Amino acid sequence: METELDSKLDGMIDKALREPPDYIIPDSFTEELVRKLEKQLAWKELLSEFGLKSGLVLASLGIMTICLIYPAKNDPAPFIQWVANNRFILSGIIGVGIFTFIFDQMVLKYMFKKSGKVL
Amino acid sequence: MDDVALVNALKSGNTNAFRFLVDKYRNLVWHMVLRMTNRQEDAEDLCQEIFIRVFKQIDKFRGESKLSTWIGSVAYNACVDHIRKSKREVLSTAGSIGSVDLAKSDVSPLLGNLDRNSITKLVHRIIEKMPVQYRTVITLFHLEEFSYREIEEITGMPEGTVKSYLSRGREIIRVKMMELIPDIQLVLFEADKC
Repeated sequence: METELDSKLDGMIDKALREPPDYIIPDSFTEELVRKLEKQLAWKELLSEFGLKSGLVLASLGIMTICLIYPAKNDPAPFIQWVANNRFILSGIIGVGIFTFIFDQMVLKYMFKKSGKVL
Repeated sequence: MDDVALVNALKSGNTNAFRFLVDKYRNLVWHMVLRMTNRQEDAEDLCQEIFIRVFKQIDKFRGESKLSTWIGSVAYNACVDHIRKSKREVLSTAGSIGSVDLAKSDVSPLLGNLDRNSITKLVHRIIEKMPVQYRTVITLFHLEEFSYREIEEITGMPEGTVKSYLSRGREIIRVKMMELIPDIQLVLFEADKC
C-alpha cells in the first residue's frame, strides 16, 4: 500500500514538475527585443562611423596646420599675427564645419535610422 | 534552420537569425529566469538582457556543446548576477535544507479543491520556496529535459551535486505535500479516478 502510494505521489510530482510556470512570455517579446537590438546596433554603427570620420577630419586638419606652420617655423611672428587678426573668421569657419559635420553625420543619420529609412 | 547555420548567421550580424533564435529558445530562457529569480516583474527585462548577451557573445560559442546548453549557461550566469545585485537571496553553496518554509495558510485556496491543476500549483509553490540551486536544477532537468552532464555544463555544479539536489528536492516536495495534505492517499486515488 505504502509503495503504491509512493509511486502515485511520485507520478503526480513528476507531472507537476514537467508543467511550465503559470506566467507566459508576452507575444510581443520577440519583436520588441529585435527592435531593441537593431537600435543598439544602429547606435554602435553610427558611433564607430562618426569616430572614424572624426579621426580623418582631425588628421587632415593636423596635416593642414603643419603645412601652414612649417614654412613659418624660423619666423613665426607674422603667421601668429595673421591668425590673431583673422581669429573670428577662422573660428567661424571651423565652427560651421564642425556643426555641419555633426549635424550631417550624427543627427540626420540617427533620425533617418530611427524613422526606419535607409540611407 | 539548424543550429550551425543559425550560429553562422548570428556571427555575421543577421537580425532575422536573431529573431529565429529568440523564438526557438525563449521558453528555455523564460522558464530559467522565472524559476531562478522568482520575480515576474524583472523577468522580461532580464530575458531581453540575456538574448542580447547571447548575440554579443556568439563568437565565443565554439560548437563544443549544444547551442541550448550554451544559451542555458549564459542565462544561468545572468540570473546569478541579477540575484547577487538585487541581494534578495543568499547564493549559498551549502546545499542541505531540511524543509521549505511554506505554511498551510499560504496555500489554503489550493487545498480547498484538490484536483490535478491545484496539485501542480502546489508543487510549483513548494519549488518557489526552495533555494535557488534546487529550483534551477529541478527546472533544467524536469522541465527543459537537460541531462546531468548538460546541467553540469550550464551551472558548473558537479554531476554528483546535481543528482543530489534533484533527489533531495524531490524528497522535500514529497514531505511537504504529505505535511500539507494529511489525507493525500485519498486525494491521489480520487485524482486517479478522474
